[in-house]
Amino acid sequence: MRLIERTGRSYLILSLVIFMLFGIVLYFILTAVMSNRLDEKLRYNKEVISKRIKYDYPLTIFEEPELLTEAENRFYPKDTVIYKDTLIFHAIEGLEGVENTEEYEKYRQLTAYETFPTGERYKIITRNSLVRNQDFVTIITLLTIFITLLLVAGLWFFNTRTANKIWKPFYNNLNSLKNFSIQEQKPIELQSSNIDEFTELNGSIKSLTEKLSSDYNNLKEFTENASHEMQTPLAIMQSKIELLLQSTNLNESEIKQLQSIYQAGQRLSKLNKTLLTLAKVENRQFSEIEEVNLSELINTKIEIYEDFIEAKKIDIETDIEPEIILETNSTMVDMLVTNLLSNAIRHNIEKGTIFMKLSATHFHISNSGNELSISPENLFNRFKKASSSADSSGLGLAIVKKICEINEWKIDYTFLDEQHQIIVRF
Amino acid sequence: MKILIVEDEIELIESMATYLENEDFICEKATNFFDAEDKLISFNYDVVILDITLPDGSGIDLLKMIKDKDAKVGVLIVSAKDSLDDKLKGLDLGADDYITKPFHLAELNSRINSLLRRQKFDGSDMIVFNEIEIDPTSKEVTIDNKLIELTKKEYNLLLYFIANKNKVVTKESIAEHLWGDEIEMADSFDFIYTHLGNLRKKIKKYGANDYVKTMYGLGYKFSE
Repeated sequence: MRLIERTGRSYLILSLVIFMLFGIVLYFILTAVMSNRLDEKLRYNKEVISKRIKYDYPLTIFEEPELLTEAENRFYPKDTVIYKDTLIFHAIEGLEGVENTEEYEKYRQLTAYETFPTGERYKIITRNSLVRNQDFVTIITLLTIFITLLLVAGLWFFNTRTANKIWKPFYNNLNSLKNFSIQEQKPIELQSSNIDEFTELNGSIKSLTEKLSSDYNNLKEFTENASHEMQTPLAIMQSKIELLLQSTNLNESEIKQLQSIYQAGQRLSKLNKTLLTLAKVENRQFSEIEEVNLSELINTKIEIYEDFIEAKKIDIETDIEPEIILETNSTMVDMLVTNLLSNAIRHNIEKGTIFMKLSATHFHISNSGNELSISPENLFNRFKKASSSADSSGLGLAIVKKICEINEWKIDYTFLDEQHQIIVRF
Repeated sequence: MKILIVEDEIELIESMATYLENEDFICEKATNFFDAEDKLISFNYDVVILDITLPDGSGIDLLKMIKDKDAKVGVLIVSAKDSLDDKLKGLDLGADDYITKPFHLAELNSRINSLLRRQKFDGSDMIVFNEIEIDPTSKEVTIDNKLIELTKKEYNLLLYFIANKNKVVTKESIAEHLWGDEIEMADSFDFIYTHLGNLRKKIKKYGANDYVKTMYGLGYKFSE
């Protein structure tokens, strides 16, 4: 539930409750006030009637007082006034121009048992219709409900509108936060707002992303610097071993041990070099853009790898459209093709196949081979390799992926028909 | 032949000097910009091995100085950075070759040899090892004046061996020399064997001795 809805709903419920309570209270107050007024009027009527009786004034038939029966006398020994609501049957018949009606109507009735100075006791009854009062209350209730609804609707409408306006920068910023990528090296752009909380939030996000970016850059630089610093000691190691190998008085076991050290050193320096390359790609140091003839590049690479292809008796088939020109960095494309091709050879089987297809929209390379022992999602991650062989650094595809990311190309891997298939879409 | 090695890492300078002195080069060492500048002003060298990053200055400035003084001096840049920028800048300013750390001493030696050939005789100098004669310009190889047909790889391999004659040359350095360092396949050692086998056969066929000795699966030695 969105915050706007949540607060809006609370307001709605609250205002509904208040208005309902208000309506109920209003109803009772009005009824009480009116019945007070009515009872006053009835008392007045009763006074008029008793005065008339006292002075023997003529009375209407409706006001005819009754002498009390003995039973009543016994029941009401003192003068008493009783108020009550009662229903009286109305029947209007045979009057011209008036519809015939038969209905019960509610009346307020006053019954008084009164002793007159003459000693006679009378029962005086006077009534007043409650219908008008009831109508009045009904109208007031309806009006209250109507006003309540109007107010609620208006409140809802304005609340939503202003809230939308107020929250708009927030939602925009949320979107840019979602799209923020630390690798793009672009500072996050936030829409400012005159709401203090949002301004504060923006400030925090800004400083957080800046901190994140600088940390990320530091880390990247660290990789590159560390790799650089390692090169000189590696060079010293390698050169010392090579010199040692020249000495003639080494026995076979010493040479064997030297060989191991030498090969481990070689592996380390290869790994270091690849790591450095990856760091450089990630740091976007290959930014010079030029026209690269990919068709030519691929054909050259196949020539370079000829020995390796022939040795494994790999059948290579190509469908390279000539003169495919890409606007990109030549070093990066070179690395991309080299890595993909050498992988296709290295992870191939004896007498396997390689198929390469290049068109203006994509580069497709597939090779025969055993199914991966790692999940394809991990294939492009660093140091994820299917075999633990020494000749594979596990960084090649990470470099390939990074290059594709930088060039905004799409790269996909599938294993189909016993073939590893990689497609790069430009 | 006189070589000046400019490099701030003493241990590395010692290794290079030892290897090259064994090849009858005269090596002088400079471990900082100031020393190097001083030596370059006072003496003449055939080749300068130049590290770009020095503690008290840039090798690039030394390069300008060397080329201003005598454009014929061969300069081989050694750098820990194999960034393209540095490479292009170095070569643009007149450096003759570029090698990145870590490198094989045999490779360094081979580069210096080819640099010297190009520089002294415009590459027309004949390389002679007993009955084997190589013409670097036309890339023709003759044994007892008989022309033998070699593939490009076999030719490069022979040249590399002769440049590093009497030295143990590791398989790794041969692989890197023949295929470049971007190829890091373990298989490459098998191909060295294939190419080497073919080369040996051809040389033997034309009556020359088999000069290649295998060193415990570690590498090879080209010697009499």
